Amino acid sequence: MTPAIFFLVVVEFASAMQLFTPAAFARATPSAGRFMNLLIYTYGFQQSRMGYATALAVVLFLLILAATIVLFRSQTRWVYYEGQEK
Amino acid sequence: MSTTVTRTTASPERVPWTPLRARRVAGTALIYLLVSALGVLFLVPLFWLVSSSLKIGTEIFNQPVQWWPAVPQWQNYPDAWNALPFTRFLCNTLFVTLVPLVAEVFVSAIVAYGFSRFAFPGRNLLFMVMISTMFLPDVVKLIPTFLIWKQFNLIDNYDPLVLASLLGGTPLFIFLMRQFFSSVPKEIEEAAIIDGANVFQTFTRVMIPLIRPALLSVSIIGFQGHWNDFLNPLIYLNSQAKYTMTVGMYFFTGGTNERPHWEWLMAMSTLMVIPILILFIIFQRYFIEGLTSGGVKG
Repeated sequence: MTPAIFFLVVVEFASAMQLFTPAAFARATPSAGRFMNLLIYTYGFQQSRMGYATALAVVLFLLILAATIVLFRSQTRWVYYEGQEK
Repeated sequence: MSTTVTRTTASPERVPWTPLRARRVAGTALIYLLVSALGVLFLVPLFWLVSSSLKIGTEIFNQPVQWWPAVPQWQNYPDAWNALPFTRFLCNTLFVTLVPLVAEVFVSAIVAYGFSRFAFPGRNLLFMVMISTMFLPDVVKLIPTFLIWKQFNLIDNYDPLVLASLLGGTPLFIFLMRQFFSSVPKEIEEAAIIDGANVFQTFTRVMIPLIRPALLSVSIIGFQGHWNDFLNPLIYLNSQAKYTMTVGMYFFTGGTNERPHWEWLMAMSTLMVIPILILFIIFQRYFIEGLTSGGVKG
């Protein structure tokens, strides 16, 4: 099962970091749930500060990338592929 | 554990009630109760969708929530269908769903097989680059992709919705299928090669059948994604004859000098849920089979 679990960890982590719809439409107060992706959207499309929004997107991208690289490195410790080279 | 318990309770010979058995049965009952309660909770939105599709427009916003319409308005369905050329929209939707779906599942499988089984320099780097395209928020990609398609003069065409899937597959699907391919023992492939299969035959005759659960889940995710896609058809298609169901439905939220028809929107949404439900019910069996067997037999 571990290859499937690994897949889900990577994919769900990436999509959770990009949470948007709940943050945009289901917030109790304006200050609650200000997630990164919503911030990008607010700066880019509502305040027309495209450069700042793009910079934020790059930061978000690098954050997820770094975490994913760590996850991929950790594979040797806990993910077992039946068909892997010995 | 739960299966053994149900078997003992279902067996015809009377098993004496020991404290241990009583506790087990109570435990199972509790789990079933909890799961059913959760199931009901998750079904509430679906129920609300169906009941709203039978309401008069104003009933939807009644406070407190009116769970069932006073008089079910079955007429909502034909009314909504005929308000706009929905038969046309359905054909369009089927086209932009099925063509990319078949293409991207096939292409992704090939790419995934390559990443999983062929050692070549820079493989891990390339794979990382491919995966990293999933890390960019969609809002960021929206404008650049639109500009690219505009440069090719392909706006108001189906190409932006169809062609992209044909060219590269989808990172998510490639990753998923790579995980499954990598779980297949090398020996199976070696056996195929010894039997005289070339690379392509090994791929289509041996590997593809072994990862069938992955193919099915990818197909369902893909179908749902294209079928429900709203944003892309909205920004790339301009003429009404080319609209998909989702874009057509959008006009019921109130547009040019018309009151919003939320009940029509709900009716069309209900119709759009049906194919996905049917697909899922048919393929559910294979899902569970795939999860328990890990995709490999023998």
